Amino acid sequence: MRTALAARSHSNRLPSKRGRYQPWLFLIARLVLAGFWIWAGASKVSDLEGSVSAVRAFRLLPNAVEPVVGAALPMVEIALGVTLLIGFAVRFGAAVSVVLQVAFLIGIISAAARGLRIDCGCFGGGGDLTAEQSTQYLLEIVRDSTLLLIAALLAIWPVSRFSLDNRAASESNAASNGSAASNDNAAATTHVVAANTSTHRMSE
Amino acid sequence: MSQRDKKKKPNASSGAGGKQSSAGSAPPKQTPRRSREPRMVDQQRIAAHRSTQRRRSMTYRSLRGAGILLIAAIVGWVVYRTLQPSDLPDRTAKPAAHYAVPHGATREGVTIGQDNAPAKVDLYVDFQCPFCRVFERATNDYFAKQVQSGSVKLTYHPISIHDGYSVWAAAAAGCASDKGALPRFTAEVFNQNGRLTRDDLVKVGKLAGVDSPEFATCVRNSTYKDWALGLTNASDKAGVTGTPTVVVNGKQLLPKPGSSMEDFIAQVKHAIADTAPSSGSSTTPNRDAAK
Repeated sequence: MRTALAARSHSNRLPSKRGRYQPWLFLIARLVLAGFWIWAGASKVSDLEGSVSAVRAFRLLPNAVEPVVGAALPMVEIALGVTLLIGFAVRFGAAVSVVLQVAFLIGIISAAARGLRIDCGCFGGGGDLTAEQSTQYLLEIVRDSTLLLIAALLAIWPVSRFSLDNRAASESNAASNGSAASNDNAAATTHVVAANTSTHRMSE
Repeated sequence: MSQRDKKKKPNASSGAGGKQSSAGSAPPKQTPRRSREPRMVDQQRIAAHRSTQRRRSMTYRSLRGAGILLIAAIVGWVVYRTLQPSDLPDRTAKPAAHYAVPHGATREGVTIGQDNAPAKVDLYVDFQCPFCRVFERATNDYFAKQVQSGSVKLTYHPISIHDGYSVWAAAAAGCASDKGALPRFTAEVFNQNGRLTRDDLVKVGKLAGVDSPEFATCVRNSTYKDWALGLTNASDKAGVTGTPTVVVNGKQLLPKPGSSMEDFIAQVKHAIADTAPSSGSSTTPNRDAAK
């Protein structure tokens, strides 16, 4: 005899096994995504000029917009990587990652389709290739698609271990003294609580 | 925190040893709600309040996250602008009424080749335009041969539609024209990657075989800056909207967005071959050879 609400909240909750491992898996996902962003940003930030010409090499944006994107992107990537690393606003960061990865994929696929011979400049460098160099489009597409998948999963389930978001969630939990999980976000929070108790028990 | 722990411990011990324990740690909070009917409304109100609170806190976090990214973007842009040389020329500036024109050049551009060549080709390029680079690399030898065989009269229009170094590079092209080395200089400029300061352009001239003090002075002083600005103005009047634009006997060709460079080059070569008077027995082999 379950009420509809209880049934819903139960179906939102993952089986205990998954509930235990998922925060750890998503911690790895978060760190991988954060690592790629920081790597991508750091390898470009010392050469903003090069970053702008890498953006220009795609020949997709209006001339006036290219310097803005090229100059701003490395810093944004680093900031995004750091917020994901510390776990601040993970769902937002993951959603922005999805948008950016989709934009990069559009750029790379359209460059390949237009027969351009460029390096994506994703991790520094970039620009047109000389005759001897070969394009890496397939590798770039596979890599960005993988990151897109990771970012999408994180945007759907933004809860993982060692995240600042968790602390805020558990603080608000403690403050209002607990009640039913009534939305998916809250359901996700219970997983953390569950994971916390299981570790508590392990340490006892 | 400690309060919550106290509440948790009995649950954990009661459900210990089972897989259900971790899943069961949440439901106990719900049990009182289901058992005590009169308080349910209160509980629901609290739950609703908490979920809006949580949603609101997530919105705040997202907004703060967006703020961080926005600040990062602004910092990047400001750093970029600060690092740009302060004396970078303004490509939209109007040229002076009277200005020096390089040797072998007009206010329209630099022309090479014979006057009676059947194809009059105008090449509008920006030295910072990546598409021009691809085009130039792929067609440099082809145009050199066409000019040599007398089938093409080629006019270079080094215009500046990109901010930054284009005006300097175009002015330096005037200096190279003084020395009669524009085609090689053009090729060498397009072999470079990234920024081109005036000192860099002097080095590029050396690569192109122009190694004289006059050339270096000409480049460093941007002697032909007004000429370069004038070229851009003239190209605006000629209806050039992007680079590379190739005009073959008055017919304007510009790569279509999304089309490949190979297609565009084939189109240009085709247009030039069509101008040959005797159906171009001299141009056709070249075309095939280039392919």
